[in-house]
Formats: sequence, C-alpha cells, structure tokens
Amino acid sequence: MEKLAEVAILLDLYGELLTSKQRDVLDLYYNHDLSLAEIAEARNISRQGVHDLIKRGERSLYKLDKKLNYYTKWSELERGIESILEELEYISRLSDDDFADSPDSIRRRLLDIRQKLLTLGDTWIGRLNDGI
Amino acid sequence: MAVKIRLKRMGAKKAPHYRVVVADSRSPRDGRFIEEIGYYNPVAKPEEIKIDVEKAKNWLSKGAQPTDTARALLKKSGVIQ
Repeated sequence: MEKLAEVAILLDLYGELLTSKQRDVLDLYYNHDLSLAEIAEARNISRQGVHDLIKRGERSLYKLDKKLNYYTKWSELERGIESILEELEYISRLSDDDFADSPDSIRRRLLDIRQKLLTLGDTWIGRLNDGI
Repeated sequence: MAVKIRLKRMGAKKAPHYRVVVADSRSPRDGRFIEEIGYYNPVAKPEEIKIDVEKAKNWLSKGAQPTDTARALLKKSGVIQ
C-alpha cells in the first residue's frame, strides 16, 4: 500500500518527464485506481500493453528520482518548514515575562531556527552566506 | 450495472490522500460516485484508514467489486477477512 502513495508522489514530481502515454496510464492506475483491464478498454490497447507502459513508466520514475532525489529532498523541506513554523508559533505565544526572564533560551531557539534554515538552504540553493 | 468500490485521489500535489467511494464502473473518471464510504491517508504517520464498516458490508453484499487497493483497505479495517 505504501507503494501507492510513493508512485503517486513520484508522478507529481516527474510526470512531465515521462512520455504522454506512460503519464496517462500511470495517472489512471495510481490516481484513479482503475484496473489494467479498465485502462485497456478505455484506451483501446491490450492489457499487456497497459502493463508494459506502467512497468516502464515506474522504472523511469524511480530512475529519475535516483538521479534528482526530489522525493527525499521534498520530504525534508516539508518537515523543516513545519518545525520552523512550530518554533515561531511557540515564540510568538511567549509572554513579556518569558522574554524578560529567559532571553537566553529564546536566543537559543532563534539560533536553532537559523540553523534549520541554513540546512534547508544548503539542500535547495547551495551554501548560503554564513557570515552573520 | 457493475458497481465498484475504488479509491479516488484528493489532495494537493505531492500530498496524496484518497476517498474510498462506491461508483459505477462505467464512469470511473468523471468524478461522479454513488457514495463515499471512507478515506485513506497514506502520507500521515501513522497512516489513517477510516471505513464505514456497515456501508462497506452493505455494498459488498449487493455485489460491489472492490479494486485491489480498496480490497486491501477493507481487509485492514476488518470488513473482509
């Protein structure tokens, strides 16, 4: 079952790089949950033909991901942004007293956010200027 | 009229989730479906599966055919053995 989501996401990422036939058939199979027989009937090709298109398309998707690695990078970006947002929301909810009593802990949190942004920047746009 | 139980993808790019729907086998892509009986989010950790067991059993008893993926979800949620 994990494969369903995996291929669906790879198709979102790299679908445009496949042939239009492969993309169409993979879309019907993974996003519309049609069976091989249903796709064969809808597109007027043999069941074996559908099967081959799907297998070849999947192989291309995995090959592209091995080279470009967007699946992993994208997940890291998503997790990174989520954790930065959580940190920022936490800080924004602190009271004036919290700011007055523990400025160091807040500074640590801000530096931690900075580090996370630098890490994401490294992955996505090359090394960022670290000279603050 | 053949009736199928299948997944229907919703959700944004790169964040797929699915409705489990009962639909006429002849109109698989136009979005029309007879009834929604649950949902499946494979991206959530842990993954979320919610199936209305009564509705699912009712449709199965009327001869609705689940696709392979729908069948796997029905199994996981204990509708079929």
